[in-house]
Amino acid sequence: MRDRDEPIPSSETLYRWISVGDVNGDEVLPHAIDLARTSVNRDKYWDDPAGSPPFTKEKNGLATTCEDRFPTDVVLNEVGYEFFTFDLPENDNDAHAEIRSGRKPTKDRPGGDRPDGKKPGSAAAKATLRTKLAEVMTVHPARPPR
Amino acid sequence: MNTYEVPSRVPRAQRAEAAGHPLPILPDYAMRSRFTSFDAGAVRGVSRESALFELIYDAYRNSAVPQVVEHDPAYEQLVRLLLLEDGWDGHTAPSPSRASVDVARVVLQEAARCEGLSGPPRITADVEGGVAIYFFGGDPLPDGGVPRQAGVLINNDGEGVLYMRDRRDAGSKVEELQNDSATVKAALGRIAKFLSEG
Repeated sequence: MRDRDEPIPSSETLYRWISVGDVNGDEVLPHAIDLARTSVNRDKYWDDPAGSPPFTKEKNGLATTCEDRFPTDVVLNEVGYEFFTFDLPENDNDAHAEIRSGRKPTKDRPGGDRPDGKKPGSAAAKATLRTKLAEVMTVHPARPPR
Repeated sequence: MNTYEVPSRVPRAQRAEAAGHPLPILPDYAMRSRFTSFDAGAVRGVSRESALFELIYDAYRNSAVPQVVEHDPAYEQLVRLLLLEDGWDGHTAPSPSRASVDVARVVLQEAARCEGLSGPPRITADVEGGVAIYFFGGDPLPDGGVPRQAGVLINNDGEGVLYMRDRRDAGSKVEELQNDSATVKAALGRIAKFLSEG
């Protein structure tokens, strides 16, 4: 397994495995977003996204995003939130990383909620964050060429 | 929802068989003995299979005279979700809880009665645990989807949120949702109106 490699460039493509039930057209639905840790594969360490076998029988499609597309200026119940990447290579998947979310850094909390992230308390706030991340993921009907 | 009228004086197992119900049939006494454990509030610690059993058969228990046995694809999809194991997404997704499935059933029951909601809902497990129920509306877009999507996301604590999005615009509308039938009914009415305007 490789060493962690951060920061992940903000323009690096991140791939997420999805199933047909996770999409409407080229958009991902919010139930497919794990607010605490949305697993993705980094383009830099994934040799052949287009030619890779499906992750599971159902999860046979890919959606992409990158940090440059992450929602900004997200304020819920007067608290600012952010999305960030966390490089997390696994034994069987060097390309693995996660998209996490948490409160933005403030004067009292300079690190924000990095690196672990933190979900907001209310169900509506959580769902709102999930929808915002879902909206910046793009589904590729055919595996995206590099 | 497809319904099948069945004579009420025929034993339950035979009624289900006559209705062409695809699910396994057990003797009536076996059903009663298993229901007893639920009626006694012994849900805690009940196995997943027992919970599934109860879910399948309570349509019979709750049916009123004249007897109607319901065969509903949405209902059967909920049963499938209840069979999922933790990590069903290949990562760490929790399986849908009984609480989330129960709320989903309320949503689907009200949706079946909501005149403005046409077409079957999409019912799927949520990667954070729980059940998501979606409805779609509007003319097809070039990407193969439709412009309006709305539904109810129910987490494993049984908390629901109403979700509505027009993909032609930025942002989504999200609101917390109480789980009582009247609130769910009103929310589905709003979803139907939203989709019809797409």
